[in-house]
Amino acid sequence: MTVRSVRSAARAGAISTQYMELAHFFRMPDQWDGSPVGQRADRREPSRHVHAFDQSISKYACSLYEGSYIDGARAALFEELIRVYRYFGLQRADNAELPDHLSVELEFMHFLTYWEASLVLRAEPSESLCAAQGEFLRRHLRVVAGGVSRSYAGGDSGFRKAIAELCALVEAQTEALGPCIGKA
Amino acid sequence: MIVNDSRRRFLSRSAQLGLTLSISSFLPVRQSTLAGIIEDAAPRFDSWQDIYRQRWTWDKVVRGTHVVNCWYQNNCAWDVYVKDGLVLREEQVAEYPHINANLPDFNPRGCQKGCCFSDRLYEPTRIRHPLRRVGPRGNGRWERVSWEAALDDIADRFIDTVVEAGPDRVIWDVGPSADFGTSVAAMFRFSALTHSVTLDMNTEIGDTHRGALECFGTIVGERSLDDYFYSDLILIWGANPVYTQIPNAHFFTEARYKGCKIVSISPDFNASAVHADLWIPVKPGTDAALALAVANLLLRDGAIDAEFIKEQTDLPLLVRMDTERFLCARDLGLQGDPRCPIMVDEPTGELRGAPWESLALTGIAPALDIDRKVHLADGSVVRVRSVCSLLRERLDEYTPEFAGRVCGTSAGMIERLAREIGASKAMANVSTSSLSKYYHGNLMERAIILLFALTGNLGRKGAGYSAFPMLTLDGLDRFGIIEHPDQWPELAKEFADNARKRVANGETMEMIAYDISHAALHSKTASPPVTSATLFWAVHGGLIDLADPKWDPFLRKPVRDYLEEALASKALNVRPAKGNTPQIIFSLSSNALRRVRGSHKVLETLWPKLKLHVVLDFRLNTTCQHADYVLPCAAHYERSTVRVVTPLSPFCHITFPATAPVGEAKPDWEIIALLAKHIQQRAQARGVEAIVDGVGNRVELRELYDKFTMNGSYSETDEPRVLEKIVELSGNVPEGAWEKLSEDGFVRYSGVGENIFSIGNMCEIPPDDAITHWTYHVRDKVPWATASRRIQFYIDHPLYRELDEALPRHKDAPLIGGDYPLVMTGGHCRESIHSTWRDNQTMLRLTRGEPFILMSPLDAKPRGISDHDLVRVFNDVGDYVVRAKITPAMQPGQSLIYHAWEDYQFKKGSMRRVTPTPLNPVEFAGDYPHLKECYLWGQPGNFDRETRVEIERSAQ
Repeated sequence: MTVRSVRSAARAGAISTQYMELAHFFRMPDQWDGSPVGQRADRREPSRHVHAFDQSISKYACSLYEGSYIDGARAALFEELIRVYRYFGLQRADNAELPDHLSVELEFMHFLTYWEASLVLRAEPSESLCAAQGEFLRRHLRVVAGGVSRSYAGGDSGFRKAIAELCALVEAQTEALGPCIGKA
Repeated sequence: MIVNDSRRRFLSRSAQLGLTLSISSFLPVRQSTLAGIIEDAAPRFDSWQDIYRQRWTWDKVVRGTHVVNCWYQNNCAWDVYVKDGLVLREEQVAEYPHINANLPDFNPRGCQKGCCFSDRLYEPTRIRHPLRRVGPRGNGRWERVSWEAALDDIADRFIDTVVEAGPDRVIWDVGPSADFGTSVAAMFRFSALTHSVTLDMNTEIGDTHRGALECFGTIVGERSLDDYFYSDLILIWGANPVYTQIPNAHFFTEARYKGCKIVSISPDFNASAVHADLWIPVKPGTDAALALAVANLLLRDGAIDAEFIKEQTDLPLLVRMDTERFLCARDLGLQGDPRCPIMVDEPTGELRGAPWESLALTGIAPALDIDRKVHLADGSVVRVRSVCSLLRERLDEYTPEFAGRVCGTSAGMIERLAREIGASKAMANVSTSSLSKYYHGNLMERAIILLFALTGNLGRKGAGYSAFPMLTLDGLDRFGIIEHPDQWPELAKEFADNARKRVANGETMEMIAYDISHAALHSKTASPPVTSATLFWAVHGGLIDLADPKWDPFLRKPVRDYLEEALASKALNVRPAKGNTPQIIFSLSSNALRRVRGSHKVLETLWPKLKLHVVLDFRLNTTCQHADYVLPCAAHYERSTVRVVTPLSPFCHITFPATAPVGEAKPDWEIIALLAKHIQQRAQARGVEAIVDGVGNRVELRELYDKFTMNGSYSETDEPRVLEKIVELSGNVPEGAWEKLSEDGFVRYSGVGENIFSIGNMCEIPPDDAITHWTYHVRDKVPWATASRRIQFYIDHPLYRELDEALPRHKDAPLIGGDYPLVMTGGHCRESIHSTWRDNQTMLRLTRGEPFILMSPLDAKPRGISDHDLVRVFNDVGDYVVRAKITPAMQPGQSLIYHAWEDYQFKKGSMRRVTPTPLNPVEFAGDYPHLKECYLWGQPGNFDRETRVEIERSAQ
């Protein structure tokens, strides 16, 4: 039986890598763990990153938490995110960032797209993962990416470039995978 | 974590595609590796509804509470729901026992702040790493540093200061959110071992209750809330419990179901007045005149309890008219204690010593109204009058018509209040520290207490004046102060032997406790040494300079001169002594620069002299913003501790760690223990010898950690065991308390205990009935801890006589801030406990979302001010900009800004910019027996309720 996939393994893999690099980029310095982080992260000063994105020490910082950009209760958001992560077999690691942090949501998308690529390579069905990505983008990642884009007021060109890349990726993927929702 | 698919083919193809899985935020739920998940087929997912049904599942539920300064509401038991290592929600526990079928129970407890603490826990502003300032203090720039780096630097600077200047230059600024649990135990141990100074902030925050101290010799005394069910009249005088005491308010409603009347007396038509049977409006600061007019009517109409007055109060005691001092046994050459005051036995007319070791009137029937001459032991003849006689004369001034003009209350309404009080068989009040925040709050409180004393409404079920409520585990000081808690049984025996001797000499356990408390503030070898925060900020923070001596027309000289005299005579004490500049401040559970009235002056005066300011907190509040280091603390649900409560709700609650602290945050116990460890390590590395200060206190920095942890018995990671030990050492919880606390999160206190904080309640805690405070005095005739050993309305101290406050009276408020037309008052807010939730978005949504000041439309209209306008509030001291909220609930002439806005929430300045909080010299009489400085009381207070201001539309 031929299994049709939404996109090729190479395409899913490339997107997975992009999510991974952005996840590393937006991770707070205490979460920098020595993993391969790509070119962007190497150029960052921890203190500049903290001042740009840690609201506990700077009122001018831009929040990287989705909860900052929603009207409802953040606990309900946490609960939903944890439920989604668990549905796909994941639980929060010790000392991990909060579940609505941009880097965590990007890492989850990295995981889903990696899994998608794996399924495509194994010629197994991947539509559910595409639907899940589409739904997650629509309900979560798009919210935080848009919020960060609107809120970041700093002048750092590196940060601006990364935010622009994030938004472009999220918008493109939302558009590409939106039709998968409800079709699995 | 990097995982590669184990399948050879996939491995090969993924390598060709350059695929890498790099995950650090997640772990697999079921499989051993992430690869295990990916090897499986994907679960079917169509849309988000597919997973919705898993919503109501939890990993665990943990009992917890909030270790904040709710005070009157402390505490509430909560179920804390945890999933994936995060607290997702909390829910009130409604399991408090129904101890008596005739009384309402305490279920449920909680408020909207507690309901959303899980939200506060994970706010983006939560501090999760040690922070060190970059650039000048207060510029808002920080860098993250490691714990090691921060503690090493702090330790070195601590050592430098102690070696070069002395240990008393190191200050522990402990705020009202101090838990009286593991945090305070750590601070006590550190302070005791290093002789660094602890600030007692109770009177600085304005919970002075000076009037209660003057009358009762203590400020502590409170009922349980279910005792209101026995009351037939509740006076909500100067309080707004419906607004501020959310879990307590239902008891007032339930009392009304039983026929109790509620009278609200306040300037504003507030949320509690709305639900009262009668609201009596008074102009701010005139409550003493109202109460004295009522007292006058009660005496006129004979609506008094003469037997109670004779037995329990100083009204029968004689006062010498030549010296205006009490006539005492010494004057007459009588045997017995020379301090014993004198009364007249009515049947015989003889002069007799008042009952001294018991209040029981055995063989004596005191006369109340005396004006006669007596022969003294030295042969002279002097005129004496009873306090009752003097009081009647004073009260004659306070006719309903006179008081009405002062208070803005009609004479008819005053008459009605007197009738209500006179007819009551069980009158209670609602505890409030609001009146203590008035400059003449002592006079107001004394006058109100007079009504309770005249009518005998004290120490009976449903009847009593509530002063300052406090109830705490007595194991805290046993763990925190002594060298090792295992020594306690021996020390307890020694203490009991000494106490027995003193009791045999006529003292009471309460008096002994207060002597111990006084020593903490005055003894040179006190361990830990304590000092008045009010005096500390006044002397070292420059606050005394904010007040204008012309404001109070009763003063004969500048306040500074009164203070100098009090410090010189040791009536008051301040640590470090004037001239010895503090160099290091540790702020623990404290937001001093948000809290202290006129804190901008402190910031200008003291902060430039500080070599180091370290704040332990979980959010970057106003005080943190001016610190050198901010150390991130574990919040509620992330630590093990217990919180001081009150008899109002007599349940001891503990909180357990439901989750690990976020980021690198640590419990206070761990932080302070680690500080001790780093100091020890650095002292050893630097070869620092033992330090002996100027009065012989020895500080062994090279052994600090060993002594702090009792040679490792309670290390930095042993906070849960510290809590267990504190409970175990406590004699005022039942047997098996720890097991019950571990299971239920709360346990009912079994007694008030012997510690200096709770003993003043002087009553039992019955297992099956409400708590009625002060029954030991009223029922058992145990003397009060006053100079006369009776409820005392006459204070024969020179300062009181000089300022004409020997007897209760009304004084017009001084023009604090200058001659401006509006009076700025205040009150606790509903949406925050002090500043803990003040900038929480969920709570801000319940109000205007930013600071606002309440004004009457009659004041706003002539000033062209509309609702929500930005207005400038100003006086001679300073100004600030805030929103106006126009409400007819305010009296004309009154404005009100609720409590605890952070500096950074204002458009300009802050409410503290206009509050100079002048000291009242009558509170310097610390050389009077029962007005001596003790922990919590006897220290000068801070006042903001009568600040004069003008308000205009802001140009901003």
